[in-house]
Amino acid sequence: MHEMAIAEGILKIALDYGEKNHAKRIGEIGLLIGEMSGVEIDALEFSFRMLAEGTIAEGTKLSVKRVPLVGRCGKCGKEFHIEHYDFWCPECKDGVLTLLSGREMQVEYLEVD
Amino acid sequence: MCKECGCGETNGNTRLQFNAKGYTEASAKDVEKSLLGLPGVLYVHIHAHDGETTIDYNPAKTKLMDILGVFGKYEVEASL
Amino acid sequence: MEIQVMKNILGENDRIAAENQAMFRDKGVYVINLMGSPGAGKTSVLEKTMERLKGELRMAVIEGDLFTSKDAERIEKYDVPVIQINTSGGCHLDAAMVQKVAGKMELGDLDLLIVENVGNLVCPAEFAVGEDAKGVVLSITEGDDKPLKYPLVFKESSIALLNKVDILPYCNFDMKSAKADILALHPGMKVVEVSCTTGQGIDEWCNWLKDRVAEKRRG
Repeated sequence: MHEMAIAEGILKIALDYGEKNHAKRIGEIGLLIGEMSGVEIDALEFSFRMLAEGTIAEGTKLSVKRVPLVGRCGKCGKEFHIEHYDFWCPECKDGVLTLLSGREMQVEYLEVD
Repeated sequence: MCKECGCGETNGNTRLQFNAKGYTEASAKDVEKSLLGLPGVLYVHIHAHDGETTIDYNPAKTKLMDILGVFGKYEVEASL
Repeated sequence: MEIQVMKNILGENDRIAAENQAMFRDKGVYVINLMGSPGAGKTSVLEKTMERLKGELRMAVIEGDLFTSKDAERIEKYDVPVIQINTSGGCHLDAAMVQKVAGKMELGDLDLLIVENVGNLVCPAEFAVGEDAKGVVLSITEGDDKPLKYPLVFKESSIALLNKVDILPYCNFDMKSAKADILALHPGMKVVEVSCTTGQGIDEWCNWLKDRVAEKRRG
């Protein structure tokens, strides 16, 4: 679905930074993908492979660091992994969880030749 | 981009003006319709009599090759 | 050689819209973003939709307006969960606004969520909110030249409702020309003539919604 749009975004960043650094080939792209984005990594890798053909990112490995969706309750202060987009505290009544991690969607680094 | 409120894509749209040869009254209408149907094309204006063809489009959604392809399909020679 | 990048992949609104999409997918809700000029009849179409689909689909509405809760109050009468977003001057709803209120709804209990955007034929088309599809309502009183003047909203939407057809005899609206222009902009687009006064076209619109909901459920 939107994995194609994300793959396009990744490729654009990779080619921009690759060009600026006179890279002949991009060996690896490090990604930080938060759980909240719901991105399917297989679909993302497939879309990226297709788009990268003929560029210096052809054959590049995508190293994905998945960041779990974790929130802290405003009332009891405890931290929980958020399941099924449920932002209420599982222990307190009316406690709302503030997100600590899981919303990232970044290119972290490139490995180039 | 919305010029009033500043919202929307900042890279904006591209306006191209072609000089085209080979239009008939009928083919000019067909070319206009085909171009407008391309996802990124927002505005098309063709002067059938002198071949002046103006196109406003979003290059992120439609490639120049696709636009040239339409001209080719209707055997119209277009140059910038 | 390693190059540190630390750059966001998507623009901020698209990133949040993607989060919303994932959340709606997880909860199994079909979401439509309804756009149109002020006075086109978006809220009236929704009133007819609530009437027609109550009992068949579990629905909720998110209303978007600069000010007032007039539209939410109209929907409330149908005993359907509705939340009003006031932008206080903003000309369109964005993904962050929708994310904030969607979190307050029991999405798991819904089949269909309709987001009625701010009355505006320009800006809303540029901002995804996490919807499955966009729809546009155009009143025939606005004029048959409007599709070509506002191409983006017609290209982005999956369905166009041409509203107030009961007063076609009193307007200069060339239906054939308007439909031809819409289909030129968006080949194969679904276009339905509707009237909230007579009820014409409402069944066709509601059946389309039911099909989309069922499709998402299957998929």
